[in-house]
Amino acid sequence: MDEGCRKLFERMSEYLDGELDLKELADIESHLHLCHHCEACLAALRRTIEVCRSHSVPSMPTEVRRELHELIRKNLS
Amino acid sequence: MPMPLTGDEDCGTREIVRAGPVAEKEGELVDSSDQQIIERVNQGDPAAFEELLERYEEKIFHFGMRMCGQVEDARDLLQETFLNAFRYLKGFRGEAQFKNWLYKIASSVCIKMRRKGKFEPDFEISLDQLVPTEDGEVPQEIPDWALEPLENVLSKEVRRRLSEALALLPKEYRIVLVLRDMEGFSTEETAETLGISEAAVKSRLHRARLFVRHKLHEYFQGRKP
Repeated sequence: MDEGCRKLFERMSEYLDGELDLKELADIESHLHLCHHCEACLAALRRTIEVCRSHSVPSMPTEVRRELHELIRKNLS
Repeated sequence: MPMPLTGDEDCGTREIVRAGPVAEKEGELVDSSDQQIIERVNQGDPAAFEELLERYEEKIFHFGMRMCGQVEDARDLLQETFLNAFRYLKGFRGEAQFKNWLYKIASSVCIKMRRKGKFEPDFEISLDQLVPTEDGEVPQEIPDWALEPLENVLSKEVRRRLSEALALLPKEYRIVLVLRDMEGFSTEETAETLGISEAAVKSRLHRARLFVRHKLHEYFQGRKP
């Protein structure tokens, strides 16, 4: 892994989140044009973020909701 | 320049905040704001607090499930969060959004609580551990699971693997990933919620994402014929 790859590896998340300044952005994009390994690394990370964002969990069970409301009502009075 | 991932891509995990009482204004339905409900509670109408429950209980439960992985723990987190919110509501000055204040309480409860019967991982994640190595996972080309349409990748098994990877992350990394990539918080909001610097949020988020990427990569590699 050369210096350009290492730099990109450290900043991939910020790159994908649009949080880099223009100079850093230009450096990374010029490296990406030349390095297929980094392009592949970046694609896998982008997909990981998409998978995370699609993470679903079950709805709150009725029983849990009922217990919560009972607890709060008891504390309201 | 990439289109920044904004969180709007998430179409399956967000809940619509249940509307509270509405007032009609020039033909439009306008929600009572959280602040209006809080003022009613603080002016001697504690029952109005249930309107805040209705708005946020599902969100906080989901946060608890993502952080703890078990209904029982998520229930405890939910109850403790709203009890604390009720106790300290008079101290809420409206500088932050109520939702963010609530998540701040939930995060604090979460950091303090121990998951029932679960081992809590506790280790530092260093970038060096996750750098692709020559004999390991230096990708020669974009892997299939990153190229296929997302809906083809999101099998039940992948969702299970993601939950497992989350559970393996130390809590301080997991909570940043959950807030940023699952609950839709910005870097700034996450830093404010957790009381850490934005640099720390970015650092933990990147390590957590790489950790999950590594786990997903292992899974997809193992499926290859």
